[in-house]
Amino acid sequence: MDSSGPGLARTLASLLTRGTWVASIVIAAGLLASWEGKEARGAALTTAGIVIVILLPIVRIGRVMAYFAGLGERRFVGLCALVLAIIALSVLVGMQS
Amino acid sequence: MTLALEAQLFSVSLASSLLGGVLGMASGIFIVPLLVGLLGLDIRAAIAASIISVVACSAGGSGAGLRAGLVNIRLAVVLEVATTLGALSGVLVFGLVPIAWLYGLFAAILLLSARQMWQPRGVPVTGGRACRIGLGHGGGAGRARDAAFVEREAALAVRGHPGRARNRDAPEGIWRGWRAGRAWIAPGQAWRARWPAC
Repeated sequence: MDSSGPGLARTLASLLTRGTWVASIVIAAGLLASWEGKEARGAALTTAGIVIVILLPIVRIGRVMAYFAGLGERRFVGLCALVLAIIALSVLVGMQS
Repeated sequence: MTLALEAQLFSVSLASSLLGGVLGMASGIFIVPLLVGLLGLDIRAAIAASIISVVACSAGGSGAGLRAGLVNIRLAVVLEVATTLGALSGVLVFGLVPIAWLYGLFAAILLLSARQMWQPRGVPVTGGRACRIGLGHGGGAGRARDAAFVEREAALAVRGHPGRARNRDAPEGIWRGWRAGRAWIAPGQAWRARWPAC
């Protein structure tokens, strides 16, 4: 039985929904700035919005890992750590290619 | 990038994410053909753009599933190990695969997805390996989850009362439905198991 309760689900839902809204607003601000001719500022804001989007699942995994750590479930803490390690490796590979 | 092109991209992305959210599929499966077919983008650029959009689509869309209690977080963590490894492998071979192969592979995936969507959904499953390794959802021994129970819920749901079906048989609301491993998919359809109930 999955004992990760509705509290964690609500926390993750709130994190993902609010994070997506923030990212959308930042990207929209970047597009508006670009349309007004402020190309550099627009590109910076759009990139910042995309970075927020990319960070959301990583923060989510971190939150889930903290939850399982609190429950003392080493197996799932290990799995979350493995996911984070693979993501870090992907970033390194992406930066080198 | 012109304003007209940005408006086109916005419309394409909106339609793709809408379809992806409704059908429970990654929106990239719609975005890539639309970007390549309608806007004439290189398939590699379309795939790279769709990967970002899929993250945004899933982050925004999964909130509703989480609030409704439909997400098995343990199962998601286990799946993520494989999906992140697969994505890393994809990044490594991305530049090595000829473009013609990418088109063929993408067409094959589209055909498989179409076949999956066309097939009728399965009935709830009880027990199995997922339960033994602690990934299934369970309601404890003795909980009625037989065929008649599922049929009754389905009948109520088809009549347009998913809430009644949920509330009548699950006084604690959707939380119990979640524990029982059932999910309300869409009006006119039955409750369906997404993972084994233990």
